[in-house]
Amino acid sequence: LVPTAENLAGEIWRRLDRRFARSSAVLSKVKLFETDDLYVEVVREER
Amino acid sequence: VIFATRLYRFPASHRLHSPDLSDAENARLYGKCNNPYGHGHDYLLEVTASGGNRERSGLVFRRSALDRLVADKVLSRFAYRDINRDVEQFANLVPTTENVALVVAGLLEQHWSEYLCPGAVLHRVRLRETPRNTFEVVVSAAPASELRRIPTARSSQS
Repeated sequence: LVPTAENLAGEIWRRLDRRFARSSAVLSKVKLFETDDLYVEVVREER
Repeated sequence: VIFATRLYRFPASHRLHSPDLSDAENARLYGKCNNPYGHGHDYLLEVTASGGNRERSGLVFRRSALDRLVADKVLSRFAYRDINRDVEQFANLVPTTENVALVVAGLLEQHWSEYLCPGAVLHRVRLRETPRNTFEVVVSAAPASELRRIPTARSSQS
């Protein structure tokens, strides 16, 4: 997998979201700053 | 959903004054921002996109492609400019930061496909005027009729 900021944020999301599985809390967003002028967000889709 | 956001900074000056109002009404409405000689800001522009061909490249968009779009269509018009006098879209439009954000969103939307790969979608334009004032246009949520009202170079010429 190419380690772009997008893919890194996606992997962080997957790892954190697993930890929330047995919790009443829900992971809603991961925000990853790569540099001062670029950031990536992974946001849970609302259903 | 994955969103990627790129940040750009540019200085510009403006004066908030509506020709449809009296001087007293302008002063009351816009306060110190109605100063006849204008005033400057260091604007912070955030451009957010989603989609893209992430299976292939891992990217929502190519950073250099968005940089070129913003440089060509936004920074060339706004950076180090007097927005009232130098930006054609504001010949008859008060350059509140709400309106500047709408014009920037319209310019990006209008030229998006010329610079960005298919699949990447412009999602949001956010413009910070001061640490206390930020305005955003959620492009992907705006109805087409709303987007058509965004004044652009193309529409102002027609």
